[in-house]
Amino acid sequence: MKVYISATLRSFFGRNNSIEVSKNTIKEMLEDLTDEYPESTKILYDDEKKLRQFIQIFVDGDNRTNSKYWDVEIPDNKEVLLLPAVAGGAPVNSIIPDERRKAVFFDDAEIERFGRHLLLKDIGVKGQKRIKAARVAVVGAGALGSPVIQYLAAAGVGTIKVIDFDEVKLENLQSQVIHTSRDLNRPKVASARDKIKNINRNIKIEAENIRLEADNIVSEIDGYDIVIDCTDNFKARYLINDACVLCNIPLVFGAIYQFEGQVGIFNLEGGPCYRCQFPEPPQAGLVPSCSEGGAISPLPGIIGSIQANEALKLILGIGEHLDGKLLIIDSLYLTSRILKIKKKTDCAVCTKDAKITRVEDFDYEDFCGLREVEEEIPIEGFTPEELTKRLESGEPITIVDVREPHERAILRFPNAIVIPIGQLSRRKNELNPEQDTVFICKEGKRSVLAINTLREAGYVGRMYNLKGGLDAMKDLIFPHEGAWL
Amino acid sequence: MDEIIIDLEAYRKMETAAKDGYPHESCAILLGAGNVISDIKIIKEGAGSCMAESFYQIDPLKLYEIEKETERRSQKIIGFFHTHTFCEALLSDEDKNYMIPEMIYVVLSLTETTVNRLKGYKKETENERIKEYEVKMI
Ligand SMILES: [Zn+2]
Ligand SMILES: [Zn+2]
Repeated sequence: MKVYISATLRSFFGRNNSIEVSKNTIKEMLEDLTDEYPESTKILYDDEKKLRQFIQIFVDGDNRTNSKYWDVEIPDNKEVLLLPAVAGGAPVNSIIPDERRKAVFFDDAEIERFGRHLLLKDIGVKGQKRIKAARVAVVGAGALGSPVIQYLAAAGVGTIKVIDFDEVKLENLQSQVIHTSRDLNRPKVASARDKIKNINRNIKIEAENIRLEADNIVSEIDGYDIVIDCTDNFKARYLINDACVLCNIPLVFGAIYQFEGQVGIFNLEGGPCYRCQFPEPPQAGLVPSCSEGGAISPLPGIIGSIQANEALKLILGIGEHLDGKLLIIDSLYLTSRILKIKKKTDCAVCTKDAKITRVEDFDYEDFCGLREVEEEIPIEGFTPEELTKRLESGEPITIVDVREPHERAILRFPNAIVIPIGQLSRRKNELNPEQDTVFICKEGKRSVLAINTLREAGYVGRMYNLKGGLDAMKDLIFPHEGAWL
Repeated sequence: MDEIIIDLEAYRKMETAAKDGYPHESCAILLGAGNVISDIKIIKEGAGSCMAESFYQIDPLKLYEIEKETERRSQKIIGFFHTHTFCEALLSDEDKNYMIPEMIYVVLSLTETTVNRLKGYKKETENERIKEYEVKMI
């Protein structure tokens, strides 16, 4: 058969406009061509060996690109055309419908307030109206929520919902710049609401002092244009992702740990979701959540500001954004990279025949391995008081500290053996099975995992967990030990 | 930045096509040699070719027809032109997916009242990197 090669593709086929192939099916023809012109492989197929989207095969005016035609015999006198489909689309438009933008008006004070935005060609009056028309839900009024909420308010987002169950604690002030010492012990959402009010009284604020669960999340986020994930734990991330997919709301994701941060946009117009990239959370205990792990003060400022910026770009419909991408920033060495995220064909939540069809009371804690109540063999534990008594009695006892080195640097437990979780099964011989052994971590969750790990590895000695971890114990024994740095 | 050069006459044709097509996108085939665009062939809506507010597509068989015609006139197809009517002259993901390596892609952004910006791009065969080119008119 004779194969016509489009002028636009010829440089990959030795500049021939027509090639004679002694085969009679499309499949054999393609094999022959790539054998003869190895260069053409690159233009015909993508990395996954699939025919590229723009390659089209015609026989007698009929499109035969679909592989179901590839084994059909083609008479010798027919000409096969190898042509490109030339096509494209515009970059994403604003997620705020025009009707809503048109319903927005500004008073003189607003014209003055947003003057610097109105001057920008890519924002202007139209864009600023989109911002005012937008309804954004921010989950978490902590480290990431602080910059996100304040910048959205300053930019003029018309409706901001803030969801958080927590109260402001002294240790929050290191990174949660929306709260001040005056806000100690107040609900974080109350403090956030006051800050928004101080920035702009015209903003509609919805402050929800609740913990998001499977049975309330949908009603909390439904009807919002964007959800911004500013939480610090895996349970919340999966819960928010699933709810966003099911409610069809784009999600601006952010996370921080130590010196590194991540930002991404998920579930934008059927794009990949968080689960496409992370079908399962990392093995519990190996990665402490941010509340256990900590991060340098300005890092949430950097990551949260990018989240707010991405949200505004979605609202405005401008620029390139992190749809289906994950930006990873290392603030210690000032490097960054962008990971492309592919939609997973068998994603549990965002595909056509997904397993998850509603935000179920599916056991996220169990899923994340952070369950505190134990199944099968219950784990015995000491309360901080019991352990203190036991230590003071002088009876021999082994303490195993499974925390990360940086956590131990803050608070050292006297006379503890240090074994990271990952090394436990291999180093079990260092433990004395005749002696009671207590496992400690920051919150008493990873220590449970440690005990389970050793049980699985066949260790038979008596093991106890320190309930509530060192967080619960530090006031009891450490003041006079002077172990706090 | 490397350059793409457009004959002023050819650019005027792009502008006219862009305004005529507004608010839909417009597209054309670029003729010339190397990185120099000397003429364009505007694609009209019809058969498998379509232009919408945020999408354009050229019927492969129409392109085949034009290829035959340009060959008769010893002209050469060096790339494609299209417009963005509500947003910047940046390539969308769809634009990028459909790019044929080593072909020139020129994008013109315009609004109801103004023609904004012309930008030029090429996708390299190796590692499919997309490079922006400075567009110059002569
Ligand atoms: Zn385009
Ligand atoms: Zn998914």
